[in-house]
Amino acid sequence: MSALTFAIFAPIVGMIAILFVKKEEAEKAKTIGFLTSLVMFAACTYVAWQCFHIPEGQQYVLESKALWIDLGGSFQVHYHIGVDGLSGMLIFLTGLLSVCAALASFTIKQSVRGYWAMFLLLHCGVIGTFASLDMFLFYVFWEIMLLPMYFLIGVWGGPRRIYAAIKFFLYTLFGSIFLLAGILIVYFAVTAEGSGFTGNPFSIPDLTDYALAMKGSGGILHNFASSLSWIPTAVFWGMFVAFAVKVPVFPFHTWLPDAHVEAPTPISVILAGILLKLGGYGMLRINFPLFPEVLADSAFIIGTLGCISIVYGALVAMAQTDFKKMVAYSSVSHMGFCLLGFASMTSEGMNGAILQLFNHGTISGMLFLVVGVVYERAHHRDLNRFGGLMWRMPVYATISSIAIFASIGLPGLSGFWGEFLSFAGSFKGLYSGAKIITVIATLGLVFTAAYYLRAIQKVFLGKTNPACEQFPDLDKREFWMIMPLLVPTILFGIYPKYLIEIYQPFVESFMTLVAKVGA
Amino acid sequence: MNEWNIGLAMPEWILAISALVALFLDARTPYHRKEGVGNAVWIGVIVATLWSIMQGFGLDGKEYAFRGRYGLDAFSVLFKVIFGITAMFVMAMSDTWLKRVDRGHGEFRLLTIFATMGMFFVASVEDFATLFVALELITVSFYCLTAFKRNDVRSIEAGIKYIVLGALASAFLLLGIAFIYGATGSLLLRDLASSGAADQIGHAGGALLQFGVLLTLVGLGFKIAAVPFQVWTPDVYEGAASPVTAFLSMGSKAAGFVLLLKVVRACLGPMADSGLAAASSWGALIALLAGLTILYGNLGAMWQGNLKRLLGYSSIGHAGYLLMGVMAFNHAGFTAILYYLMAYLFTVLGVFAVVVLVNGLTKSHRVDDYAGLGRTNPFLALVLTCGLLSLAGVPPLAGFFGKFLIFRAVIAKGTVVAYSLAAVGSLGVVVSMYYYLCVVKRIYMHEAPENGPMKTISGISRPMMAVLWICLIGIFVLGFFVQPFMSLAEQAASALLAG
Repeated sequence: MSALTFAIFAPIVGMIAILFVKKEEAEKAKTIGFLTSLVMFAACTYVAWQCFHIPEGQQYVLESKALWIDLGGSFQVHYHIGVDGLSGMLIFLTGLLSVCAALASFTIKQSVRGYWAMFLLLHCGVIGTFASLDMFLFYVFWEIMLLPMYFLIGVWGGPRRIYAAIKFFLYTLFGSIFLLAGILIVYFAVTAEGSGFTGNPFSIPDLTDYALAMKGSGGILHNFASSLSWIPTAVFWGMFVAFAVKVPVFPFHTWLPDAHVEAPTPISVILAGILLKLGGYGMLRINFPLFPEVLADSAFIIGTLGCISIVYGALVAMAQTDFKKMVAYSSVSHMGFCLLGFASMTSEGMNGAILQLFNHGTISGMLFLVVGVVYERAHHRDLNRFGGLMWRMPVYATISSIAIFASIGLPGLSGFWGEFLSFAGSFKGLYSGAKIITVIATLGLVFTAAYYLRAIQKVFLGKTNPACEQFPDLDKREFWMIMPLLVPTILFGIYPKYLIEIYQPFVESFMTLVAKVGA
Repeated sequence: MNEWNIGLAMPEWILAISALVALFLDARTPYHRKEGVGNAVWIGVIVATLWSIMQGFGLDGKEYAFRGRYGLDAFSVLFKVIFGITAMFVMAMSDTWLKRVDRGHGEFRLLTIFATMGMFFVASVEDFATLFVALELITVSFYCLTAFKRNDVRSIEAGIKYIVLGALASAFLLLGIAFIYGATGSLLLRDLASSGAADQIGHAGGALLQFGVLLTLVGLGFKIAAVPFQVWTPDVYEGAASPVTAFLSMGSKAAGFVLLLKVVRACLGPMADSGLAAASSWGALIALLAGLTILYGNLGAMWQGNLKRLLGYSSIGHAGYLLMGVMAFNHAGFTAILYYLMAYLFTVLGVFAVVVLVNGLTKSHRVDDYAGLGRTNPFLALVLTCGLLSLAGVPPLAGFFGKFLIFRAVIAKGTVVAYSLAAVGSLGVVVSMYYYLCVVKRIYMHEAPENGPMKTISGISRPMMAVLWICLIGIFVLGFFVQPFMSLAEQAASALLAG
């Protein structure tokens, strides 16, 4: 069993162990859950470490492949997993956030066993999705993720939790049906007579190679070219919607504020830190490599959507009085940078977008933890009812400010690189109108600074609000649940090279795919 | 082919003998001591099912009995096993349910075994006369079963609605059979399939034949609850006793699809084989009905506050997905239908087993009254949730693969009609997810009201426990280990297409 398989199924083992915990000893579930998340973190770190040493000429490491479903003919679904730098980096992020979220989950008192079982099942789905190299397996893991999330929001969430949970579920399901339809259409197209495809019709590496070989001659769906020429574009956009819902891209973002506000703190952390990354990851792994030509044609629309997400998200965040909702909308805004980077199809843009995936994971995770800390003390999140926390909770205020400045994109902190490179790439983007879109998108930076600085001012500065007089500073658990995210924020802010190094092979191969089409 | 070969129909004989024994016992025992009847029925169904399985192992191609009017192939064996298991599950549920009823235990079990016998015959019909008789045996048994709660207005209402509409449908069916006979001069399905009925399409008889097929489809459409013959479903599902509803939703629907597949294969198969234009318009008609059925069922279910009505509407929706497989009209489509029905067996019967148990406690079928089930009865809640999610088609549960295979078969057609149907089907999946989740949310996310009837259910009988476990395991096994069941379905579909 490879380390990757272990990382995927370790949570399941933990979950089964929890199912055997007796009702009277429910606290044991907490211990099992936390220990499992530590094991997961170790396994994920190992997986990521392996990605630094990908041998020459090999794209993935820790690959394993076994036949899962054989429906005759070429319809063979494999349990095919493996990681490259991109997925390895995101799996590491998953491990890191799972430990932080597990620490933050200690305050959950209701149905403890169920909570931890769902918490672990969610991680199985997430790591499995990142590791899948078979489209069908990808889809199955993608869906496995949905249910635990639904329950985690719906059972342990805030007052409007049920509405938020169902909204989250239906939005994502709506998108993923397009994904499944797309997978099927690709399957039928490449296995039809005269396609010239020899690999496995579900294998992502095989299909990517095929897409590269078919550059300029109709792409992987060239079979449709004559009679139904709109099909490749439709499949591309269908898959795009599936992933855009997760990112979330305007106008598919409306589930996000609800889900975030209602979810318990650790679940918000996972939602913002990992689940949103799955959308970007899906685009990079499936959507764009399979249809590089359609990507080139659609770059303007994708860039525009990214720009709208950035500016609109920032403007809406500015109007919020609820701390958590503000952070939630800032996620919409910040994930827009990824789209801007993708659309540019330049090396800088891609670098920026991928950096943003990782850094937004750590920074937004931290921000949600920060909000959770103050919510536990005050039992409200109204920005207008805090004030002067700096004097009562100095450690907390310092950490929070670092997180906020990282999110604003202050140079020296990790958020800067993603934004800077996205803009730099986008400005020399290959589609017409790239410059204007980039200039408009920079407005988002100003708004971002505005709402974050206002938040700092209202929460931490000024006279201490009498209601906040008695707030204790961070305790040990709270300190250590934020620390694992703070370290990479500062570390990769000063020295992002390690991060760039790990996924660089992916960017290079992606750029060849795109460049050949453009030429 | 022209032999009587009556030994081949041994499962039906076993059922008939045990039904007679049960009748005899029923007449000789007082109304509160009907265990003997129950045992006779149980033994009959179990032995008949085992016998069918044995026949399946020794099967070589297709065998005929009753001078070619009864046939046995992989397809019929598969369905006999499905019907046998359905009957057993339903009997386990009715044993639990009958404890709440003071009389009529004997009749209830007798009607169950008569219906089962009809279903076994349906799986083997080879001509339209047997088809009609077997179908009526099922339907008449269900008329009585539906109206069984004689003190309950809703049950009586359900019975009357079912009988009036059912009789109408039977009349259509019979008229259709008459037209088909008039056009081709034969009642045997294989004559229709082989004698080149397609050649006649161009002649005057062709229109007659097509009209006959249309009327037959109307009759069968009623059985499977396809739009526009679906109106009875929610009322009958709501009014009938829960075990009867379970039997209707699985047994009766599967029987309807068996016949539909046989008729479509025999009457429309030749047209499609010879590539007549009429075949594509039949395909479009079925696609239209499938799309409407999916939309009607799923949109209707969204507004239901009664779980049994909700399941009634959702069962209409599922009929629509199964019709999608019929529309594909090829090996892949038929395989998908068979797999879907296998998955549906465990899924829907698991759901109804929980409904029977919960109803015994709360005396209610309102979705709202399922609040707190997750806390009071974690196991029942788990079975119900997995069942509902499997009905909705969440991977990797059984229902997902059924739906997936159907969509695969339809998309493989590659026509605009097929793509549109697939799009409608996807819309239906999203809508269905909403109302299934509304039930799930009641189970887990709402607290049971103080002093409400929701308590921990104790004293679940062993057979009932077995049903729950088998269904739960089946839901997962058919989702993870697709291979063995897939090859069963493929064999059966090949047998059907071989004729």
